[in-house]
This record gives sequence, C-alpha cells and structure tokens, in this order.
Amino acid sequence: MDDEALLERARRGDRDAFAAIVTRHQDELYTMALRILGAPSDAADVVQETFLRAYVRLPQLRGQTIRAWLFRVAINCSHDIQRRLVRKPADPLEDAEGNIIDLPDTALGPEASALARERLTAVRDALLALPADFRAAVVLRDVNELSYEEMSDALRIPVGTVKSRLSRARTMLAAALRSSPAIFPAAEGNA
Amino acid sequence: MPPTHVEQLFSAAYDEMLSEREAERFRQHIRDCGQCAAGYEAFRASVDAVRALPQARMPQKVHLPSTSPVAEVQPLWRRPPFNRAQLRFGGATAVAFAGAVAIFAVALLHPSTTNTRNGSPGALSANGATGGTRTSACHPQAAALAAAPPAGYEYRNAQADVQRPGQQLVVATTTSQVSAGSDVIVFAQLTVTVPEAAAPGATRASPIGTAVIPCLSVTGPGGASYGPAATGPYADQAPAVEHGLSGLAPQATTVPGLAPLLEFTVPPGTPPGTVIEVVASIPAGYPSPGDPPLTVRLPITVR
Repeated sequence: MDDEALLERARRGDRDAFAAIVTRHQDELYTMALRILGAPSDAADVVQETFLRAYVRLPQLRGQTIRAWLFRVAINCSHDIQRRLVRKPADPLEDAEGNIIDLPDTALGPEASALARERLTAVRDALLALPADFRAAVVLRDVNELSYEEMSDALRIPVGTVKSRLSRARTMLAAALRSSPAIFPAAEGNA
Repeated sequence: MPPTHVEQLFSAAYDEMLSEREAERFRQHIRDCGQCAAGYEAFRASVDAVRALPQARMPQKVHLPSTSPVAEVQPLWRRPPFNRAQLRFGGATAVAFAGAVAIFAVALLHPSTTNTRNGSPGALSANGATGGTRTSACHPQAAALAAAPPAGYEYRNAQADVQRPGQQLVVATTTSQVSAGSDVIVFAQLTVTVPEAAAPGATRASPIGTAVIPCLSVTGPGGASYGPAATGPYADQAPAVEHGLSGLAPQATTVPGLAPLLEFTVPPGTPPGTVIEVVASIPAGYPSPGDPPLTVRLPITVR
C-alpha cells in the first residue's frame, strides 16, 4: 500500500495505517537527522517530534507528498535543535552506551575497519562543518537521495535554488575533504 | 570553457542533469584540461564518500498518542459559515425559532441564570482577557485512558489539590525555549483516578486513570491573549481576542480526538526574551461537584 493510501486510512482514524507510515520512514528520517546533527539522541528526538507533528496535522496533509512533508518537518526540527544546543555533538559512531553503531561493514578486518572509521569521521566532520542550509542540501540529496523536486518541497525553496545550493555545498565539501588522507590517500604526503 | 565555469557544472554533471549539448561540451573540456579533470575527480570522490555513509536505524520506538488519528474534523473556528440556503421555513423551523426566542427572552430577564460555568477560572479568566464578557465557556471533556507525556517532553509543570484526591493536571513541552516562527506542541492532561468495575469473581476493583482534556490558552506578555482565548477543542470558540498583538498572534489549535496535544506557532518576529505562557485549567465543579478550580502555567521563552 502506498503512502497516499495509508495517509487516507490514517485520516479516517486508522492508527495502524499511521504506524505503517512511521515504520516506512523512520529510519531515513533518523539517518537524515543523524547526519545533520551528529548526535544519535538528538536525531531520535527529531524523528519522535516529526511524527507527533504529522499525527497532529493529519487533516492538513491532504494532497501533499507525505515523504517530502516529513522531511520538511524533520529539517525544521533539526534546525530548532541546532539553535537550542550549543554543544559539541556526540560521536555519531557510538550510541549512548558507547557501542560502535555506525560502521559500514562489521565483516571488515581491523585495518579496513580502521580505515572505514577514518573515512566516516572525515565525512562526518566535513558535513558538520558546512553551514546548516548547505548541510541539509547535501544530506537530502546524497544521503537520502531525494529528487530535486522533493528537496524543493522539503526545503521550501525553488528547484533552481536547490541546484545552486547543492552545487555550492558539494564544492565546499570537496574542498574540505581534499586534504583528508582517509578520502584521498595521496593527500597524506601533501599535508 | 573557463575553469570557474566548469566547476559550476560539476554538481549537475554528477547528477547527469546537464543537457545533451552541455554534457558533450563538459566531457570535451574534461578530456582536454588536466586541472578541471583532477578537480572533477576530487569532486566525484567526495560526493561518493558521502553517499557511502551507511544508513542508520532508528534506535527507539516512536511513541504516538494513545488516541486514534483524527477523522476529518476541523476546529470550530475554522468551519465554514452557516449555509443560509439550508434554512427552509416550515413547521419545525417555526417551533424551533419560537423556542429560541423564548430562551433568549428568559436569558435577558434572568442574566444570572446564564453562563453558570463562566464564573469558574477557565481559560478565559486565566488569561485575564475577557472579563467575563464572553458567553462561551471552555468545557473540559473526558477522553481516553490517561497517557504519559510523549518521550522528550521533559519540560513540564504539574498541579494537584488535596481536595482533588488522585488527580493531577500536567502541562509539558520538549523545551522551555523556542524560536520565533517555530511550531510548539504542548501536552496537557488532567489525570483522574476512578475505580474500575470489578471483574466477575474479583474481590476488589483496581483504580484506572482516565484523562480529562483541560481548557488551554496561549498568552503573551502582561497576560494578553495571544491566540484564540479558549483553544480547547470543546470551547464554544470565537475569533481571537485582539490586544494590539494581532500581527503577532499565533494560531493555537487543538484537534478533537487528538487531545491532549495542543499546537501553536510562535509568530515570526517575536522579540527574544518574550515569555509565552501556556495555561491549562480545569473549572471548579469539574468533573465532580465541589472540586476546586485547578490551573497550571507553563512559561516558554522566545530565544
């Protein structure tokens, strides 16, 4: 059943239909918030708040693409948290108990795992160093793979602005990563 | 093509969004220019690195209100005006009209018999905004079983009264500070403990907590009403009270069936330091005769 059908059922009072929407989108929203905020607990708060707002606003969601709308709300919640928190983000590779949670492949050997972790750290730091609007553009496109049109809906900016913002954000990101030996091994000798 | 112009095409080229002609010119330039080729290669590698980030999984369950999602019900003040074309005069209409005239006449002659609930400190008087001039009142309504505030709603205030044994009025949000223009969701609920009917064969019944949705209002500096004075879904709602703040007035809404959640938007441009107060109140005599009034205030500061 697609999102629109689930949404229609949820509007008629079907709690399970809304729960299905939550199940379908919670991980991608969490991933987005994690890449934007850096801290797992903050990202989980964003997802919780996003679905609460969606629940409250069900009657007003008519005719909207629920996915883009959820991303829009999650982006706003993330920005709210960014403004509220002036602290160093927790290590996103670890959960609250300090367990490593974010390695791409647990089957990697020690050396490859270390390299993978270095790459993750480098990309995470480069992302977090971007201005908030640029970071959101890169995350929505390259982490969540939204189309330009979906990004336009989520960020409430014209498609043309999406393209230019994404271009600038990626260029800034590339410049930041250029000196990272984890991404560009040759850069180690140049550093 | 000059290098700076080529660099501006990197993103569109990566997404294969260039036109056929642009793409051909781009490829030709990359073949001919080592500097741009190296730049594009670095650009590709960095975007690829972001795309290689693993997808994460939501580590905890998303908590939703215990009530069902709402059916298509609009707040009273948003409902379309009465359709006069539906009024057809006939016998029943005439009787109803005569009855209404009689009730109105009695109300004029005996004003003290009207608004019996307005004397209680509901949301309107809690605002200090209406002075009892409104004829509508907020009527709390019993809802489903009591629910705890959702996860993350740690900023809260609660009130109990010895004359209301087993009852507690709670108001909660996620934060005490909000930004101008942001949306705020407030949890508000009076928990009322009532005995449950004993199961067949059981020696005694265990008490259960039921929820009562309080009257809610959002007020600005000086107690002025910011939005609809009585935002409770069960208030006989009228347009917002004006206090010279109409340009800043947030529209607070609660959605029937979704209580105890109230949502309002902090007006863009609200000055930092402004304190917005969410007031939840239960009138005297509710839910039981003799119950004293109960009010909880939750100040939220605009950063």
